[in-house]
Amino acid sequence: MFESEIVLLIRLLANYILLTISAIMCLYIVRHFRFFWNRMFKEQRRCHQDLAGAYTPSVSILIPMHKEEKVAADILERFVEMDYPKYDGRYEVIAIDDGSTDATPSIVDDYASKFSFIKAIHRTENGGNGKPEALNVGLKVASNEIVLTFDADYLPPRDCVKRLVAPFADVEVGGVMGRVVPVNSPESLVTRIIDIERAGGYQINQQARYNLNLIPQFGGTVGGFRRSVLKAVGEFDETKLAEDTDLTYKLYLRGWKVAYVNAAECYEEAVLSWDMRKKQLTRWAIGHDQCLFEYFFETLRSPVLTFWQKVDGILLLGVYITPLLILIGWLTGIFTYLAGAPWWCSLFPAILFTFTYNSTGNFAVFAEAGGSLFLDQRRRSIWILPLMLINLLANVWICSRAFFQAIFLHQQRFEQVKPPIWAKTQKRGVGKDNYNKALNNFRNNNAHRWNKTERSGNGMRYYNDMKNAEIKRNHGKRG
Amino acid sequence: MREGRYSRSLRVQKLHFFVGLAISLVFTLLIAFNGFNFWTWQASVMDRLLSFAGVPHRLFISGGLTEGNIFPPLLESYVSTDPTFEIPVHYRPIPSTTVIVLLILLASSILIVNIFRIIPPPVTAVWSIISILAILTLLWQTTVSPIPAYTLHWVTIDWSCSGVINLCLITLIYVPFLFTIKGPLWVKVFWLFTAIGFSIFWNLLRMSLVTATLYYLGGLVFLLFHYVLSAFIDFVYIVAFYSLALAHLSKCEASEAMKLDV
Repeated sequence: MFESEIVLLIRLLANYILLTISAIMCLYIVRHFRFFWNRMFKEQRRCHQDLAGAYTPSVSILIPMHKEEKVAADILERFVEMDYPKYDGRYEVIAIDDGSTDATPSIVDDYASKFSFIKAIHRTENGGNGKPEALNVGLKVASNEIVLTFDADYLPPRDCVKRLVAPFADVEVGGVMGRVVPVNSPESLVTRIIDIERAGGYQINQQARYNLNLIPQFGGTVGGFRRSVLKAVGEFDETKLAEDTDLTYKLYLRGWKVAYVNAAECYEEAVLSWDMRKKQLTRWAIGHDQCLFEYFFETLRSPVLTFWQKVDGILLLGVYITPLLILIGWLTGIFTYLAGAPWWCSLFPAILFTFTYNSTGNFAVFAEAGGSLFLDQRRRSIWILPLMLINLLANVWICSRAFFQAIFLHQQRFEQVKPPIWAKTQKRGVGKDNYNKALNNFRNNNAHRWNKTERSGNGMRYYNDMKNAEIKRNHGKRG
Repeated sequence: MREGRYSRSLRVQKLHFFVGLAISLVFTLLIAFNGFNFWTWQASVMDRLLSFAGVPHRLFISGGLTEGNIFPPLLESYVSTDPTFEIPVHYRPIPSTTVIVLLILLASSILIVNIFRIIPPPVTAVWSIISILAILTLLWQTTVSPIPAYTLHWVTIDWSCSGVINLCLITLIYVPFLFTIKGPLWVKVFWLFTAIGFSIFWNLLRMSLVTATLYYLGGLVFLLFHYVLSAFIDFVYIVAFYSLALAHLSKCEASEAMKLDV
């Protein structure tokens, strides 16, 4: 009798878990449908792009480089060719050699000696401890009003900077984000999938969030901030693996806006293998989950965010735990099925799969991805949309693991830097030491997490191919 | 790179949307009012397929036994108003099946783990779990299982397993995500019905396969195929047809633009 009651209780619990997960997934599906509808059929905000080229504030561009000998020259060359006023120090490019042991330092020095607007910083001590640290070092040197950041494997077109800075004409805009387009998509299955994911994530997701005045996210590269705002919110957090998400929330919670500029396209070299993809996604997921733990309640309580911004903010924070929820949903679904579920639970497999395939954050939203490829007029890429299912499986696996790593990390950090609970008392002046100690512990414990992404250096070739094809097409049209 | 792709948006094809909605409604109502006939038809086709595959079974329609009494009943027959298959499930597997399945699993595992390196680790992990479960079931059935040669299992063809949910899902997905997009109506209707047609065909095949799995591989593998893999694989073709439809619409749009250029 007692045993049967326990079994009944477990079954009931499993049913309610399934119901809750389905409800959460339902929220995501509504959110993504809203995004799809808005981006596909509504008027698009163009984010002061009429001012691009006319409004030219002084700008500092930070490029952290850690062992980037294959791509360093390409990106510096792009910034040399950039269509932006370069007189009176209005334009500076700060190449931060972050403890590289390859030819990166000499490439950077070479460019710095040739062009006065390129500055080289070499971090020989404490180098290679992660991007946020390198960016903070660069930020100390930066002297201009707007600070933009780019990863070393990116290839910005000539109009990228002027398009990115245009939204700063609006005084409420504290940060800006451009569109990332993989340039090496034909190289492997992973690059093709990343290409589709990026298309959906930027062309539809980010643009719709900007249209709807929700929370477009700064993605860590091809974007930037007002330097004064960046200083005011505490620069790049070196204890976060997703300093970009962290900054996005810091800005919004202080009443600033982040603008998304779909026209500011920048080409990246996507990672080539599943192993590299796993490392990259693990880093993003852990970092994003860190932000979830830190900003969840703050976002809910925020007096400056609107109701829908709060909803979007919470759902955005939860993007990297949806794969875990899906995994739990699948397992619970199997359990309830085997344990003899009531009739309404029989619906869950179908519902869960529909929701899963439609709603896993920035990953496998096939309609979003399909819609974005349609807008981009990339017919051949649409054909491989079903392969996003592989991505979904990979995400479920990687993000679920990353969630537990993030919990461990959060707990560890909490123990180390938690301030005393008592009221104000005499200071001993060791706060900074404690912080540094915690930071060093964090670095030592997590050094392996800053996984260096290997680059093939083929990005420039693909970029040139693309440009040539474009010229040929335009030439054909004129003819 | 194309001028304006960052700011272009489409006009909602309202007429197409309502046409799609009407098709969906008519289709859903047809299924709702003819569900029993649909399941009976599915069961009769499956009956033939299972006989072709050499799976001993009995089919009950409206609680009555149809022709083709292949095996003697051990227990009282299950009575259901919906079409129901009665399948003998072997505790001791057929030796030839065991050998063939083990060989297939071994070959597939070698292929997946060693040759197709582009397949990501989660897929290989899922495949390993499936393989291990299948091998364990087979070994358990061969060595440990109790004396009775078989027991009876019932597979009822009703709304939860006949693919009706998929048919509704297809219309639900295609109407807002396809019919609203710019492009000729005939392309949208064509792909909607192609997806529905394939879904009906696939569900017949799938249900026959999983029912045969019940006979050849036992209950655990049957549940795995029926519950976990079915829903997963269903989405592969739903999205595949959606992507083909979208690509077709994109092609139509490109052709139209080219005509205007000329």
